[in-house]
Amino acid sequence: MTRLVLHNVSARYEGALALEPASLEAEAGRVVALVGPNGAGKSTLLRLAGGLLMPETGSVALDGQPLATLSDRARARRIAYLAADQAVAWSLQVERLVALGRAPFLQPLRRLSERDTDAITQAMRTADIAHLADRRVDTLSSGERARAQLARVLATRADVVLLDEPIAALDPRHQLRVMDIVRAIAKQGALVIMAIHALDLAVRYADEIVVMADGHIRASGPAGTSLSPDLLAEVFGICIDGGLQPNSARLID
Amino acid sequence: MKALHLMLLLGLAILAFGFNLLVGRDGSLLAALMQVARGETSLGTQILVELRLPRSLLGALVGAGLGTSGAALQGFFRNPLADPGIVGVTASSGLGAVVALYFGLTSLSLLMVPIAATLGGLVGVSALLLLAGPRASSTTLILSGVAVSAVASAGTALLMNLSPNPWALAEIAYWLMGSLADASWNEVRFATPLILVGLLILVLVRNDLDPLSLGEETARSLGVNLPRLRLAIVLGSALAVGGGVAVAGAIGFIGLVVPHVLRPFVASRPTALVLPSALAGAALLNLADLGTRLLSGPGIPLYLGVLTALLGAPFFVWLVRRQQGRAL
Repeated sequence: MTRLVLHNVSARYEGALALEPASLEAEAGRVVALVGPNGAGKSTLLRLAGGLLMPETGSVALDGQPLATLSDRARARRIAYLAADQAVAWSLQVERLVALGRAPFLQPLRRLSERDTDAITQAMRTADIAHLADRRVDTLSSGERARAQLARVLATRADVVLLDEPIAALDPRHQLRVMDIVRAIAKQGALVIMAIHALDLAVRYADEIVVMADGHIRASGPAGTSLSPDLLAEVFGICIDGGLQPNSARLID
Repeated sequence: MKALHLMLLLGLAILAFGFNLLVGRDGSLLAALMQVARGETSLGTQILVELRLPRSLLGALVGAGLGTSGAALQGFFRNPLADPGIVGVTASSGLGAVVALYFGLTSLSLLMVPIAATLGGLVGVSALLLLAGPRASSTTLILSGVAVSAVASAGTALLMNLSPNPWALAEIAYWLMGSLADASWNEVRFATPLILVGLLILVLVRNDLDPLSLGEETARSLGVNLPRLRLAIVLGSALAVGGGVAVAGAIGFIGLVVPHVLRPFVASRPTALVLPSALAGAALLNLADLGTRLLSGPGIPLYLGVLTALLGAPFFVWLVRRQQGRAL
């Protein structure tokens, strides 16, 4: 069973400490939400978890094996990552973009295998972009592009899925759809860690909420308990009448 | 790119090679080709075998090197304005070659010019990477290229300034204009291994260019080894361009135009652009060389680098304007 352990990791950007030593453990089937104001260190923690940033101190291990000892490709097959910056340089076709999720599995001079094409087709269907397969990414709306990038992540079929604000560009309906997808891949056995600003959705969909501020993990625990009114006031500078309630919107077919 | 398109491009490259081999201002060398086939020798067969054949072979090789490194640089910098000439690789290779010529390193070995040109190219691409960084905007990329070119051109100008006699000066000046007119089997021997190794390196790492279109961080998350890719791009383009500059001088804009024309046929995939750009570069350079031979007056040669610049520069202007339109 997949298990990701970050032990006392810290990170520096251009000399300044972006993340104080922090620890986090998560296992397959769970959805972990990272919440906190901008600049709290959520993206840094995700990059560390994905092996994209070398920790200044501490270590990251996947199933007991340090990430640093995995090859780039081996790591990429097990950990998929959706960056907050979803720009695409060329006018690629949507299907080609999604197919990039299979890049860690590609052998030189070989075509996509049946397993690859299956994963691509299914990922596009799941992310609700099958009808956009032949479109060019630069003609998509930002919401469509965000879903195409999500499909690219799904196509990898990784054990660990790291999402940096996957719903920031989406309308309410597609926010719900993406959160449903997140729940579904966790149910299929993936471990999902996502940075998210929508607290009501985090409370509704995540198993665990990690509250971050100023490069620290301030609190973590089950969704119902970690976001107390005191913490909301201290970390976000907001208060919510009647306390934070889970989002209750529903999709109409 | 579909197999049919690749075959068409291959056909075009062979056709351009054949034209440059056989067609001239004084008619074709078809008769000489027949004589060669029959094992006879004449003035025609000598021209064909000793002049035109190495010239056309070099045309194909140098063109392939320029087209491929153009495609690879554009994919790596995620920018359609990247081209060996514009980003300063050509000028740095030129400086390397001029240093070898000026200090008489050719007396050590004739190989010194291609080697020095390749080293110059290496320094040029490395400087560009340091100046522009891989996340460079078009503006930063072009300005960094201008800076690299300026330093290299200043070095070249200094050596021309200090050159001991007008003949050496003229030799450097003509050589800088770019030409295949002096191509012989010697040049083929020197340039071929360098350009082929450069091409091979670029072709081998091309699969990393598609993931890179999603940005460096995402590319790494998809298993791309960025430091290795960076090294391969630097080495590959320095070899593929440097080898060509050493024997043919500065020939610009092939690496800019070729990937741009082919891009619609590969659905904009930078990976799929690399191989076709080699074939199209080979075809375009041989056609351009044929053009210079047909347009040259008696005793007044038109230089290849001059022709490609005359045709390529307006295209560059158009591309820059279109880029601006997109950014707005």
